[in-house]
Amino acid sequence: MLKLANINKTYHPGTQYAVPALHQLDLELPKGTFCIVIGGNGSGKSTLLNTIAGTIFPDSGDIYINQQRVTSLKAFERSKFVARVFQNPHAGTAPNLSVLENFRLAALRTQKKKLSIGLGRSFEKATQENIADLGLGLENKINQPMGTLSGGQRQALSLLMSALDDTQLLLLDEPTAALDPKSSALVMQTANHLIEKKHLTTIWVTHHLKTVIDYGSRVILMEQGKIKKDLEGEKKRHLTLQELYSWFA
Amino acid sequence: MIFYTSAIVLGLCLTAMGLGIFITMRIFKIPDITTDGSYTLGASVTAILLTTGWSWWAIIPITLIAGALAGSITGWIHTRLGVDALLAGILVMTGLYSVNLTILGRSNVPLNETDNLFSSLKFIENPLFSQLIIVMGVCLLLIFLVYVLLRTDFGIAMRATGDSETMTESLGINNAKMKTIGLSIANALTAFSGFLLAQFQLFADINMGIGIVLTGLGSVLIGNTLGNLFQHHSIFLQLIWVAIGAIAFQVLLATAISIGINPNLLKLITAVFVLGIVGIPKLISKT
Repeated sequence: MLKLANINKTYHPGTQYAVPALHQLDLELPKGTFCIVIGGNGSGKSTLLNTIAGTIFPDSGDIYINQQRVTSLKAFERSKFVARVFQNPHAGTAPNLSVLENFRLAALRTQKKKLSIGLGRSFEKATQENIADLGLGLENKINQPMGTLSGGQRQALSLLMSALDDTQLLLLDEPTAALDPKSSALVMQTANHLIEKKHLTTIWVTHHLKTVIDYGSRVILMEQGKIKKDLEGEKKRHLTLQELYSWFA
Repeated sequence: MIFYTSAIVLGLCLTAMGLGIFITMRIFKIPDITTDGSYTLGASVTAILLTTGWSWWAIIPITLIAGALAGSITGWIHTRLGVDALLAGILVMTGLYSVNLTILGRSNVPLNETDNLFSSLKFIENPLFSQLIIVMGVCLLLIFLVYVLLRTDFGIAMRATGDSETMTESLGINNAKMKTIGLSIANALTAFSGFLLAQFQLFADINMGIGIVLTGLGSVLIGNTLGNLFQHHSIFLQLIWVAIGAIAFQVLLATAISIGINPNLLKLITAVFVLGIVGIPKLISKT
């Protein structure tokens, strides 16, 4: 599904401030993998995610999605394969557009935005049903501007938005970092539910070690731009919080 | 009465530009100064084609294309060359001065002798009321078209681009292309205002565009303030408010003249008006 081959990325190359962010990184993710990525600040987690999404281009190496080389595709071109949920709920939604309009755009992620009106009754109804699953009562607020909702509500909605159109790869960049514990739990459950229901191939970057225990089929620890540990299957399932803490010691 | 009716017609002529500024300023949050140049460009193209015998309706697509071209150059400079939007607009506006002078051939081209939109469509005796009804119809049509555009999937994508570029990029929208298209549409609308105005005032002048962007900004800001006052936020009403803002702006200027203010001070008054609309809410909220 996803393959990274020998990816290198250095920030400010050739200066005294040069920071190697990714170093000869190889990663292969079979279809349906729910991979959680952890690591300290500056370990290269975000660079990894942004390199896959196409907002950062590697200095060398190649990226393949479904055997197709996407290394030189820009972010808006890669959106055909990749859906993203950002750390900042404000980044993933348009505040001045209504909830419904936000959903409309997300539903067209892999398609052309044509000069035709797509906000029909049927789309409205489908959106309402989709949102009602969250159980937050937001289905009655679909004509409200997105900006009038709370960060947690927006983040839960952007999760739903990420799976509206054909999603081959879902990238989550600390989606709960900006949220209070209650909203955070909601977003976490929504994400997990969505990923399992649709068998989405997922990369979830987090600082929250409990997430690793509760969710995911694979865990990767990044350190200095490399993959330091990589556990899946049985080994991942038997991982304890204590052991995880020891990785950071 | 005639005096204020003219002001209203003038405001309606400038509504197209107001809609353009609405797109650049309110939707894309780009301060687009190209306006000054593309407005005169629209008027110049209209004047020169009318005097060489073209019919007004055939001139419409030419004006729109000319304006769109000007806007797309600003868009290209801004998005492809990474030049600040304000500077990109100033560059194109300055360049357009020479282009407009070349098109006009001299600084002022009178249009008294030619048939035009208003003389061809005149259907009642009173010329001013005839003009009023014609521009009103034209404005309603434009507002409707812009409204429909903004409701389409493409239009939603446009609006989202000004709202959150991270989001639009992740949803397959080419932000650079979107902004360039937006600037093209906006300047086509502005050029169309030039088209209307040249035929209303019966001349095109190389200096007619100086500071016109402020008039457009003023219209959008007045419209926005009124919209907030009445708590109307639907896109359609926002566009209507732009038209009302454009008219209100011209009526205010007409009032200023009628109470005896020297017309030479008109630009200064325009600037102070716009400053007032932007600044007064800040002053009030601080006290």
